Amino acid sequence: MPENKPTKAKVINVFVEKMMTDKGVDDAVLKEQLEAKLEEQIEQAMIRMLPDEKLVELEVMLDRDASDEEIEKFFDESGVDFQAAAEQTMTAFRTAFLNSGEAA
Amino acid sequence: MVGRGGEQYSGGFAGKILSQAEIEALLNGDWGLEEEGNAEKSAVEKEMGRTTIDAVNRREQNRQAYFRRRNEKALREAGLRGEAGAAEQSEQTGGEGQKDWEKIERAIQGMKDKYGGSAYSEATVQALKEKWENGEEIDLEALEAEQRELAQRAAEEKKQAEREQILDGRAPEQAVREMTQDMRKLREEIEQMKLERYLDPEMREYQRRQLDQAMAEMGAMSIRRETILAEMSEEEQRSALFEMGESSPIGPDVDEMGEADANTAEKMRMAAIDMVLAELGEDEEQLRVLLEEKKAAIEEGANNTVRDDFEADDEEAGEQGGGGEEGESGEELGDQSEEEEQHEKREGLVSRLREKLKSRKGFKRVVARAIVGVVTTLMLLGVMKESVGSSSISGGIESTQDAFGDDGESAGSMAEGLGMTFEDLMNGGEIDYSKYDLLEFGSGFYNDAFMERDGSQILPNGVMANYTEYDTANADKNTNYFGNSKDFLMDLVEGRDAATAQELFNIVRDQPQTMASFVANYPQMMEACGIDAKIVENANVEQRAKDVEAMLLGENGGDLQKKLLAAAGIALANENTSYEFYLENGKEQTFYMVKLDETRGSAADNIRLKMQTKQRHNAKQVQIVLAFADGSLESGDFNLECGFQANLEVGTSAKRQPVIMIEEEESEAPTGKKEKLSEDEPSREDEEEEDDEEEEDDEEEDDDDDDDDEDEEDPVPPGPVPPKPPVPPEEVKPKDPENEKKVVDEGGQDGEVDQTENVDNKTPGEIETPSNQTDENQNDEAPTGNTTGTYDKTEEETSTPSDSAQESVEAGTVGDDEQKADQDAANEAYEGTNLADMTDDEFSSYVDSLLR
Repeated sequence: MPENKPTKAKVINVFVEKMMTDKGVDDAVLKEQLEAKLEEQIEQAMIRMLPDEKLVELEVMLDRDASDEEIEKFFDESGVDFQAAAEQTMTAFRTAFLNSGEAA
Repeated sequence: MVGRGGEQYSGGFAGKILSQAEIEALLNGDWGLEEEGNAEKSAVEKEMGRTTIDAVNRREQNRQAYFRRRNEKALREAGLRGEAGAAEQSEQTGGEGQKDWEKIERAIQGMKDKYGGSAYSEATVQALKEKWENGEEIDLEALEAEQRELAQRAAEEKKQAEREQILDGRAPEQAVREMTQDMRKLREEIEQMKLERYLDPEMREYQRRQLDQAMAEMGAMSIRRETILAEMSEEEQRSALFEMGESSPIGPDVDEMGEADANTAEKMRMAAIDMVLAELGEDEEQLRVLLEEKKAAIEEGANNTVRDDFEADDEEAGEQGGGGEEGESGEELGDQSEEEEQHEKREGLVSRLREKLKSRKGFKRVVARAIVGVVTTLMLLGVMKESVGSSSISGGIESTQDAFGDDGESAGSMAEGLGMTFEDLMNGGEIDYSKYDLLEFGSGFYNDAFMERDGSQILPNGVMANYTEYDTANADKNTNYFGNSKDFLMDLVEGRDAATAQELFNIVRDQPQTMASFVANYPQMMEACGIDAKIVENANVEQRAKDVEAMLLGENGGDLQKKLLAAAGIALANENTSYEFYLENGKEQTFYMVKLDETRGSAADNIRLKMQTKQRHNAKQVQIVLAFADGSLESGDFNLECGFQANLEVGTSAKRQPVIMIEEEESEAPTGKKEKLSEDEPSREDEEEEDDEEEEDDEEEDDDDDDDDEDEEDPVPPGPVPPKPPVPPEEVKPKDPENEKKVVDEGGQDGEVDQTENVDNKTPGEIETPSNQTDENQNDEAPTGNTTGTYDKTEEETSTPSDSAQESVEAGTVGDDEQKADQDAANEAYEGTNLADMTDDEFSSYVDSLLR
């Protein structure tokens, strides 16, 4: 049996579902929104990890309509550990969610 | 976990194995997307608030009316009401008279005032008894009138006493002026107190108390002044206040009385709530709880009214590390504000970049790798744990650190931080067709209800079809879309995946050719439906699709159709199915549908799948990745504007490279790589057309709608109505599916260049010519020369229906402004809470509101 390969969607789905279950919340709409928010935060965190000069360079690239391959290469060669950024974001997201609503 | 139907699900948290009924519900539009907005909650709360006040008033009125009725009844029973009453009184003597008096006495003593207390004092009752004994008439009405008069007089005297106390020998005008002066001074003191900031919590608390007292005194002063002003004429009031530079308190703008009014209103609300609470019965616990909460909220609000500024100042003091009194230097403040400004600028840049990147495939791949990479370690740990567990060498390994050293320790803490384990990721939920009877499941969709829709048809082999959307989408156009544009799906804020699944399911259900082109991307789906392995294993996806199409039109096509639809529906409804939306730039092959014989119209056996090559530019597309129970992943790439036309690699007709990183399952067959463009060719330059040979022999056919009697509107299918897509945003000009060819006169091009540009993105001053219907734009030659990347042209030659007809092309450049306008309009059109636009504080508040 081939190894089960997780996709990004599955990882986020499992992560958010587990998070909501630990909180005791079951809401399909909220789950969908949390998934979108998580993905947004991961993307922002990854971009934020880039040094200032890289941010400027990236903006220039996008303004001149760089190709998808160029963009991918840019990130791959930036030297930033995006996996760490994603992990930190996911951990912080989970912590914030689990702690939310406690003061109310 | 328990599902919607009450079934127990095995496995962990990775997903749910839906029952057939649940899948049917999903496919019929019941995605459980309930909209609960904060606005609705607020409206309900407001209504409840009004209801509460109304309830208070009603209760008070009811109580007074009750006591009145009770009193009247008692008096009637005692013979003290009505004409007979007086006659009765005079006739009562002796023993019977005594009995009657007792009755009257009871009645009188039982009478209650509006507060529930005795209406008459003991002395009054005694006096009445004496009258009775003396044979005098007991006129309670007169007595009540007298009492009212006395009460009124007492109230007036009390009011007068208060007034005299306030005046303290002064004339009213003087008193008003002096009180106004005092209030002004107090107001200045309050403002001064607000400006003072303390770091010490005790000092801040003391200051808050001082401020509370000052505000209360201000309120009291206002009330006292109002008491005097109420006795003055309007002219006298204006005269008194004008001298002090104040406006009349009777007018609308009375700032200094605002606080007092607010406090008074709050007190009145609290009193009203207290009154209602006192009247609640045992069975009104819910209302009691609600009112208690309201009361607490009002108290909290009142306490915070005078503290709001302080709390804000406290936060600011905390952030800055000190207030003015603590001696913070202006230079330090300046440095900090500069840092904050730079930080804000950076964050703004990050946000802008994210907006531009979120639809770019290249960035999506990077993000996907990062996210999947996070769990790779978890998985690795899990696999290693399993191997350790099964190993015969078990001694001495008691912890992950023992087994894996520091890496194991960090992996374990990472798992704890993420809240996920290896098992969570591994546990099922993926698509498993073995659990379903596909034929039976699919039969539920191809039935009498389907045939009752306008435009439905059935072939002798049982295949059902309805080409209403196909006809509508291509009516009066020379296009061959599968269906209406689905571009709006990409702009949806909520329920995007569900809406996409629904739209795709509908079109696949209705159009067998569309179904064939869809399922051809998913070998497991075809295999589960019994399609021959030779077809399934063909690396040429175009051929697969055509083979499936042929099977659908052949013997037993009806049964195959049912199974394929069931399989498609199960896959689209699976929660592990991912929908990746992105903008495509590049060349690809794509399906379309044509009528073989125009005279036969949209008969199911008269329509065939065709393939063409297209140069995309910011074309909205979706990649749908299915995860199967055996661990395999299969993807399909679909163009939204054309109604989910499937896209393939140019030349090889293999599947497009996935946006997200998954392993290609057809690794043994030469799948072919994406055709590499030479480095000196811009990525968006048109190249020679590459069409199927058999298409060169196809006649060019018109795509006119021959079914004149067909309703142009897509009929609503019977039964559960699938969720309607939101109305496309009005302010956004719909992308013209027509080939809006504009001749763009730019340098570096020869005379054969034929470039198009979306008129929506024209900048002033650029050359533009009329629309694509002009003959000059019907250029089939391959364009050459430099391009600006702002055009899009189909390269389909022989498959164009006619010389004057053009294939649909993608829209041209979509500027940032238009994209933003699209997004804004889509957000407006599809109202919903968009967490993506929230700050972290807003997000926390939103979650809190849902969790209450």
